[in-house]
Amino acid sequence: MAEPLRERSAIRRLAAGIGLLGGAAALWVPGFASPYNWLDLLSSSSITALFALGLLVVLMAGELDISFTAIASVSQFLLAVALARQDIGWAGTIVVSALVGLLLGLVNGAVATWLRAPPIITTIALLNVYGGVLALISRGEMLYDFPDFFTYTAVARIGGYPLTLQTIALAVTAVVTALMLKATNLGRILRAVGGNRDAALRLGINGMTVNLLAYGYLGLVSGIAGLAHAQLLQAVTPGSLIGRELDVVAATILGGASLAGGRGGVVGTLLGVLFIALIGNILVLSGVSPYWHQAVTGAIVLAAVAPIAWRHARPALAEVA
Amino acid sequence: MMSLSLPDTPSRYRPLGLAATVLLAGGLIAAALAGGGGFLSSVAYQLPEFGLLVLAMALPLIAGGINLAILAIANLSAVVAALTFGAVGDSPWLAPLPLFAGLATGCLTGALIGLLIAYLRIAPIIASLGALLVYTGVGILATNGAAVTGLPAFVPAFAGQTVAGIPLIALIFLAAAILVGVLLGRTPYGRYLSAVGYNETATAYSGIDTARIHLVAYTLSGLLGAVAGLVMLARFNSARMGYADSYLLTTLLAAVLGGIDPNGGRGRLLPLLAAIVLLQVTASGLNLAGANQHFSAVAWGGLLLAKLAYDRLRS
Repeated sequence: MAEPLRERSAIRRLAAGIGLLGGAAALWVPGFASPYNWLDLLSSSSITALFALGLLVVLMAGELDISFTAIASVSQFLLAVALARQDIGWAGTIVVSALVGLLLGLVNGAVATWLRAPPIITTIALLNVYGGVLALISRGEMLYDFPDFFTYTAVARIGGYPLTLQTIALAVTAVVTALMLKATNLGRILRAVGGNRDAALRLGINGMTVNLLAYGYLGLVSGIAGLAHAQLLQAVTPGSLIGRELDVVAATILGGASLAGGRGGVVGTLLGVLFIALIGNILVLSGVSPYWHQAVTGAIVLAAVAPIAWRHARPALAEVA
Repeated sequence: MMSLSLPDTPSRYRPLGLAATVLLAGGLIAAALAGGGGFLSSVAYQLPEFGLLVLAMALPLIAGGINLAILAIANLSAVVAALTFGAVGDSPWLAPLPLFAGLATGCLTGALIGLLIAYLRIAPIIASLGALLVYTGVGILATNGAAVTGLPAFVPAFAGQTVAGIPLIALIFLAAAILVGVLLGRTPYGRYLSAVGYNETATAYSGIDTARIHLVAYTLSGLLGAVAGLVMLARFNSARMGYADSYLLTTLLAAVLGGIDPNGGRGRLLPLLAAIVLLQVTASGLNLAGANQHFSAVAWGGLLLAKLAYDRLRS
């Protein structure tokens, strides 16, 4: 059982990094230790975290989908249109976002599996198709006329601190994803397919079904992320989410997931997102140019992946011998 | 010398297929609508940077990888060249220095990705994605996200120069394409590159240093990206991170339309060249016809999916 071990070591390293970074920042960066900064950090990174959790499930199955930002954009646009027509309430809001996301995710799953091309190429194409169609239909106009229920920042308050919709959505998604991966047969199947697709298929597992579930789940979570993003900004600007997909991939990989499939977990993924968000937050608070963020993120991801890859680096020759 | 005999796929001899025929028709109609000579010359000026980027994407694809960072490399090389121009002043005698700095940037940044893939065995998507973030970040830091301007007058003039009526930059592209074609079709390296793309383990067992094949492929990819960056530098008379980012989709599309197997292994120059020309003609035609960029994104994405579906149905 090598996976849980590797997962634990990724978690340990990330937790240590976050502890060191957070401790140093609490000492030397003014404003960092304030609970409001933490709440802000939580709200702003929750969208990325939602995407990352969905992506984790797809990576687990050994697949890749980078069109999730476009799926979220389409679903929040349709949601905004629906809300402008009719007060559909919270239940309707959630159903619309989740359904649109799920539907597009299933389309992605079917297309990517059937084409048998590398999923990065297929989903770059899908990203452009979704984003382009959305831009053509919406003409790039911003939508911001929401009914009252949608505008409250805090859904509830705990000890005076607001509990936001984004936080709740993230918590629910994290629990559901963790349960699915750890406690259900589906999670075991996903891990099996990701670990060795050929072996799993010979056991009688249907690859298309597994992929539809994985891509569909990412789509559904992306729809919810679109909803959370629209509620956070109180506006829907078509395309405002698009362009963040590679950052999400980076955070998820940092969290211990692997493109080879079969690896990763919810805790590691959340820590990966938190670590990258923390760096951005500290750079902003300490007045360093935020332009550093991207370079630092990329360097950290490579530095985190390199030792794992190195340890597993067998010369191609040794594989059979 | 060892001989490696590769599976000869019939599709090598009709690699463009239906999709390209449709494209050609559309492109020619657009060209006819736009009317003749001016249109063709605008294609000849726009094609080189796109074509060079496609070549930069093609080599890693043939090796079974991908280089997501080609645009970051192109822009970073252009930025380095532009900043060096600022440092050495207007003298044309010192012009080789910025050019060299730009090309060296491309080689180094490409080689770094190659090292990560070849020796650390990081997946090409992750290696080039991490590199993309680092290069973009460094480039933005160096320029504060703004365009670097104030280049000597001979730089934009270079983009307008012609030899026997053909734009010089088009000739540069043609030379690069021929070199890549020779490399792919006439050298052992080209065969090894394909072999690595088909089956890396088997290639390693044939006694070939596959790590070096990867390293060279990504270094050349970086170099081609840098040449594309320098062409853009001359054409736009400025350098900025983020120029032409939408080319990522179209370079993949051109490579796949041009008969390169996205799963690695197969790739030849002539069909690739045909795809580059057809796509640029169509893109320029769409531009002239006033189609907006979102329409193009849908069209290119749809076309890429259609070509993949076409290949899938035929296999």
